[in-house]
Amino acid sequence: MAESEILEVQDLTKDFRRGRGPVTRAVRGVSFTVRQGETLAVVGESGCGKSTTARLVARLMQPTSGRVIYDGVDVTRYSTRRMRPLRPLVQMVFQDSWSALDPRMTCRDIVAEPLRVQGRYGRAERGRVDELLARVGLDGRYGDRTPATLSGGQRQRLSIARALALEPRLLVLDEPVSALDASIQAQILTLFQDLQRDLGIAYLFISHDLAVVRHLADRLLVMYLGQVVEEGTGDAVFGAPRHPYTHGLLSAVPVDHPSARGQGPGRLAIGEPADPTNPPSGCVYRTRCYRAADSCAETAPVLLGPAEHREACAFPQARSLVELRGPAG
Amino acid sequence: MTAAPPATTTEPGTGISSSSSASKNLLSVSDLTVLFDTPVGPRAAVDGVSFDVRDREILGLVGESGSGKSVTLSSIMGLTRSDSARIEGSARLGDTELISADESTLRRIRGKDVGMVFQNPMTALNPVRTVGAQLADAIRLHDRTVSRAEIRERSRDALADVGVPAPQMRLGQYAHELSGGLQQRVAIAMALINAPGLVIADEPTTALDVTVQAQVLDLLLAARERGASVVVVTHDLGVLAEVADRVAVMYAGRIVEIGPVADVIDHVAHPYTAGLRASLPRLGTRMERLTGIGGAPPLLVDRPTGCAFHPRCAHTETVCTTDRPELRPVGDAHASACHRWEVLHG
Repeated sequence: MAESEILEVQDLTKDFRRGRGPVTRAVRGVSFTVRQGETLAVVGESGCGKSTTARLVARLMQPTSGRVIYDGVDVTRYSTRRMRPLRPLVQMVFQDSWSALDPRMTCRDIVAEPLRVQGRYGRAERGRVDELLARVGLDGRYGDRTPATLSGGQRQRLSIARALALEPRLLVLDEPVSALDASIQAQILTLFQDLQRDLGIAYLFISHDLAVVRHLADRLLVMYLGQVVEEGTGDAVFGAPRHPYTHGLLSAVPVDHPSARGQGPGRLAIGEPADPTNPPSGCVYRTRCYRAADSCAETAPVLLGPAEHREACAFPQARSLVELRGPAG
Repeated sequence: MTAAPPATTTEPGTGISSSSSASKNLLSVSDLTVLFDTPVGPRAAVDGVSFDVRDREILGLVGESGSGKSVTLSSIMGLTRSDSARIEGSARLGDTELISADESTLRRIRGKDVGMVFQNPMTALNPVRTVGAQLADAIRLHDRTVSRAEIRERSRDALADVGVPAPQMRLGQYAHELSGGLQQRVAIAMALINAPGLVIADEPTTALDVTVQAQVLDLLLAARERGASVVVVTHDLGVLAEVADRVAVMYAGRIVEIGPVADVIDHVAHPYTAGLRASLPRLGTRMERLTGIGGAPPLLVDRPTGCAFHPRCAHTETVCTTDRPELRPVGDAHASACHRWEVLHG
């Protein structure tokens, strides 16, 4: 593990099973690293395993197999007690700030809570809490207010201040702007950029919004049915996406201008995701794939090539955004 | 192409007739105001809104939370009536005035002349009745003479039309057995089953994945192809670039800009619209930072004087803080409510 790698995940797998029902393989053999100060995005549709991956990384959930390594330390089998001193390294921000914040606590108490839990809250920290609130754009007036009196954007700022309290090196952000209005979403995205620039913090950014991922991500993973189907740098994957699923996602994003309507090849991802309790044989994507061949039912493709850009597909094809979306798309 | 949707050809009482020509407005809203009681007195969630929906057009209403876009539509459909709301102005659907219409008239219109699609499909679906039973209800509510066989056939066709796989089987299923995308399709099938002339869709794609969103937008386009007009409420300007003919931008209860979608994008004439666009990351062009808009939309009880957008606007002058701008033409079928819209074209 290189010096600057804050997080490494090896062959992570998570199975869910309800009662005696069928096994859902939510995450299958996912591996990646996150380096200091970078943003790694995970993108895909509902049920692709991106949020489960986030929870496994944040150690809110135990993987079925695979390893989670924080700053060189394998924490996969760590007990809650042994995790505690390592918790500050990786903190999480959720989509739904309503359910993530205790409605009876004041903003100041919410931000102080992680410091208290870590036994690091003394008189000196009161100023630090106000600093954190100010850092995310909530001035002193907000300290004594409760989450219910805040707007959605302000609540998300509060969640971010709390996540920053322990000076994490990695923030796991699970759809942190999906519930926000456009102007507020832009403000929070800019806040993430400022925090990264000033604090050198890394992000694991979970999102279903490809334009937001394009904006923020240095590298990204495209997930489908629990597996990574394409990964690489933002420039490589958005510049010349190669997996038919990535093509499908990109072709579905609304155009920027009405003149681009109908200029692309149409919808390339067919229908809806396959049943994760009964995944297709061979390539899991083949049932929706516009390029599938008979042989795709037999062999499951694996990620091949350099980490800068690789995909798991027997018939990859580099296509430009213009090809996928039309000239003004 | 037919001049009007088939099911509205001979509907007595609602006044939507097959003679409506392409230039005619299907829905005319004028000076709609919706006042809600608040602790500080009545406040206008919708404040003097006027717009037309033409035959076979897709009109987008875009704005952020609290802009009044959803209240506008639900008030037109009589869904905000209560002791704490006062609704003024006019909304004419064909020859019928909806604002003063009695509940039985509205019930006849809803689902028959106007189909409604909501953000959460479970708003429209009954969890304890099968899909088939609900589609049958939607048909029978407006036509008691249909035979069972015909109901079955129309229900199956309605599901097939919106791309529900294995429609026959779905008739016997319950909503909870369907994925979110399928639920929304069933809800849309129900909204379209009586071939309404007007489809009102309130954030129909907000909770959906991009692939499903694209499919739902295709359904709205298909409804228009079959002769319907569509009003889409959304907070996502991108959705409107994809499907809308015209767009009305709402802010703090008022329409601040309205016009053909390409004009509103290419010749934006309101700083709020410009800010909304600058808030959206793009796939094609990667910007270092989003310019966006500072601040947040005002609360209902705390609307600024003059132009409600002035505290967030980079072009504010004294007049903006004192005089409320009215919608004025800035181009062909394009209007803006901004004292200083010309600065955007400098």
